[in-house]
Amino acid sequence: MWKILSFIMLFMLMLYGCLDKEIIDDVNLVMVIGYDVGEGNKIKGTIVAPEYKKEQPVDSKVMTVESDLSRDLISDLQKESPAPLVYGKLQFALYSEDVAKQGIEKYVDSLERDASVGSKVILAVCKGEAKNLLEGKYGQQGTATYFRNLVEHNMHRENLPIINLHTYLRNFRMKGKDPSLPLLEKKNDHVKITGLALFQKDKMVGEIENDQLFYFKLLSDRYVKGIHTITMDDGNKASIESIRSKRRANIDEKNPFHLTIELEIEGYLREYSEGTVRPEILKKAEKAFEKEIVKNSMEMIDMFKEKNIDPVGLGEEILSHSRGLRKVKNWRDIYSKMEVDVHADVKITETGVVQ
Amino acid sequence: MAQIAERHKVSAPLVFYLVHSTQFGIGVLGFQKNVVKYAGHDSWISVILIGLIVHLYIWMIYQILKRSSGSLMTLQHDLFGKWVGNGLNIVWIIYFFLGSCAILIGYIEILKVWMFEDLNIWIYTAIFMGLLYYIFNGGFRVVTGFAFFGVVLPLWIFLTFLIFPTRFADLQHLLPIMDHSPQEIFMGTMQMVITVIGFETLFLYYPFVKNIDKSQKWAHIGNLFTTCSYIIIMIVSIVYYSAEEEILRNKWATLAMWKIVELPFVERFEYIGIASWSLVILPNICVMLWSAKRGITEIFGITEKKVIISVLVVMFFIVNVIVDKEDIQLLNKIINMYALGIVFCYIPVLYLITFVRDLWKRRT
Repeated sequence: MWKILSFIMLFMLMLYGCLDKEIIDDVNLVMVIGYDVGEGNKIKGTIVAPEYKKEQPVDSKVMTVESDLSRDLISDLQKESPAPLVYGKLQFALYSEDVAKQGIEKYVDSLERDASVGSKVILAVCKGEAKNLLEGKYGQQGTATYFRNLVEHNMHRENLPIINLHTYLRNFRMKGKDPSLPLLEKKNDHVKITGLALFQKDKMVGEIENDQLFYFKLLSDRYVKGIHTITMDDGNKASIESIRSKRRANIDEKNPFHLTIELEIEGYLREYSEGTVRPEILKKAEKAFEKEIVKNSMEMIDMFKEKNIDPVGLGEEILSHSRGLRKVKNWRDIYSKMEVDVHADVKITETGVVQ
Repeated sequence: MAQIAERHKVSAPLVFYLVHSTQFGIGVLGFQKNVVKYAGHDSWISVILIGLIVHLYIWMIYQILKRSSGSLMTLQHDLFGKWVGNGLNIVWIIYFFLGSCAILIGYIEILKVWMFEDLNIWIYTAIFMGLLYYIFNGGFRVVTGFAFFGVVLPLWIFLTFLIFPTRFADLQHLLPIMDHSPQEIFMGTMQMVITVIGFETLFLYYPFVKNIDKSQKWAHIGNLFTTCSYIIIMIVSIVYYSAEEEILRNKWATLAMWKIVELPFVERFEYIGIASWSLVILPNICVMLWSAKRGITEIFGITEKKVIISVLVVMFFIVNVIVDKEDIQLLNKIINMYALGIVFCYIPVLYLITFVRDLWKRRT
C-alpha cells in the first residue's frame, strides 16, 4: 500500500514540471513597444526585440502590425516571429503624438493588467511616427537599452522628472495631479529628448520645452539636480548647478485656495563668462537666478491653469492640507480657483577650484 | 476530557508564532482594497483599531478558557449539553475547515493569475495534501514547528516592502489625518475582520500549551506584531499608490507593489515573493485545519488517522471545485460573515455566560 502510494506521489512530482516552459534562449523578448494611429479604428504597433549574435553589437528585430486591441498586437505578431514573443522584459513604451492626443489609457491598460510587466517600464511620447523612430539603429547594446539609458540618465542626473509606468498610473488616477511624459524626437541618426508632454487625464494637451524642464522639475520633484545658465543684468552669463533643492508649500490661513510655493536651492557656480567671481557678483547671480526661477515658474503655472492641467501637483497640496477636500468629485474646480505664488531662495555655496 | 500528555505540549513562548502565523497569511497580499474603499487614506487607523479589538478578544478567550476544563469543544459541551453544545461545536469546526480551504483556494488563484495560468490544480493540491498529512501525523508539536518556520523564514520579504516602494512614495498623501468620519473608519475596520482572524484557533490548542498562564503575554505580543506588520504595509501602500483609485483597482495591492522591485539577478521579483509566500500560508492552513481535525476527534472520539485522511480528502475536493472567481468571492464573503458572527459576536456572549456561571458557582 505505502509503496504504491509513494510511487504515485513520485509520478505526480514529475508531472509537476509539465507547465509551459519559457527558456530565455528560445523566446524573443519584446523590449520596446511603439504605438501609432492605424487605419480606421485600428492600432498600429511596432515592437523591437533584440537579436543577440556572436561578437557583434546587438541587432534589433523590428516588426509592425495593425490590430484592434493592444493585446492583439502580440498575438498577430506571433505569426511573423519564428520564436515566441514574450512581454516579460518590456523596458520602454512609446506613443506617437497623434496617439497621445487621442488618449493613451486603452494602450496602457494592457501593460498594467499583465502580471509579467514591471512597474518600471518607461513611457514616452514621440514626435512623428513611433515606427519611424524605432526602426533606426542605435547604440551597441540595442534599441531598448539605448532608449532606456537615454531617458533614465536624464531623469536621475538631469532635469527630466522621474517617470515610469507606476508614476504615470498614479498621477493619472490621483486627485490633484496630471501625468506628464518625456517627449522624444528623431534627429538624424539618434534620438533627442525635446521636452515634456503634458497630459490632461490620458490625453496630451501641451508640451514644455527643454529649457523649461529645470523649473518644471523644481516645482514637481522634491530634490533637483540640474544645470542652468542665467543672464545677469550686466549681460554676463553664469552657469549654476543646483545641488540640492527643497520645495515647501504654504497655504494662506485666511484663504485656503492661496498657495505659496517656497523653493530653496543650493547651487555651485560652474561657469562665469567674465573671469573672477567676487562675492558681490555671487550675490547678483543669486538674485538673478531667483528672479528667473520665479518668472519662469509663474509663466509655466499660468500656462497650466489656462489649459486646466496640473502636472506638478499643486492641487494635491491643497487637497492634503484642507479637511474634506479629498472627497470632492471634481478637483479641477478647486484647481481653477487656486492662486499660486512662487518664492525662490538661491544660495551659491561653491565656485569651483578657482576664484 | 483526557489530559494531554506532557510530551505533546509546546512551551508558552511558541504561542507567539501560533497566533501571528494564523493571522498573517493570504490576506496580506490584498487586504488594502476593501479597507480603502471605506476609510481612504485614513485606512491605517482602521488597522490600528482592529488590532486593539483583537487584543480584547484574546483576553476574553483566555478568560473563557481559564474557567473551562479543556478546549472550546468540552466547554460548549459542558455549558449547553450534548445536542446544542455539539451543534455549536460543529459550527466552529466547519468554520475552521472552510477557513483553511479559503486560504489554499486564494493562494492557488494567485499562483494562476501571477505565475502559471495553466497550473494543474489537482496535482498541486494533491501534493499539498501529502505535505499536510505528513505534518498532522507528527502531531501538534510539528504544526507548531511549521508555525515557527512560517514566521521566521519569510521575514526577509518584509524588507522588500520597505525598501523598494518607498522610493516612489509620497508621504503627503497621508494628510490630512482623520479626514474620514468615525463611521467610515469603523466600516474599514469591519473589512479587516477576514484578514486578522485565525487567533481564535487558540480555543483548540489551548490545552496543548505548557505553563498556560505565561502564554497569554505571548499571544498578545503575537497580535501586536501582526498589527504592526499590517499598519506598515497599509501605510506603505497608501503613500506608494497615492491614488485611492489605484488601490481599489488592484486586486492584490501588496503583490503589485513588488512589480517595482528590480534586482540585477531577477527581473520579476513576484516569482520569488509568491513562492516564498507558500511558507507563510502553510502554517496558516495547518493550524486552522488542525483545529478542525482536533474538534472532530474530540466530539466524535474517532481515531486521529481516520479523521486526518477524511478531512484532507474533503478539502481536496472543495479546493478543486471552487475555482471560479465569483465562487471564490462568495466563499470569502461567507467566511467574513461567519467570522463576524462566531468570532466577533459569539465570543463576547460566551464570555458573559462563563462569567455569570462562575459568579453563580461561587455564590452557591
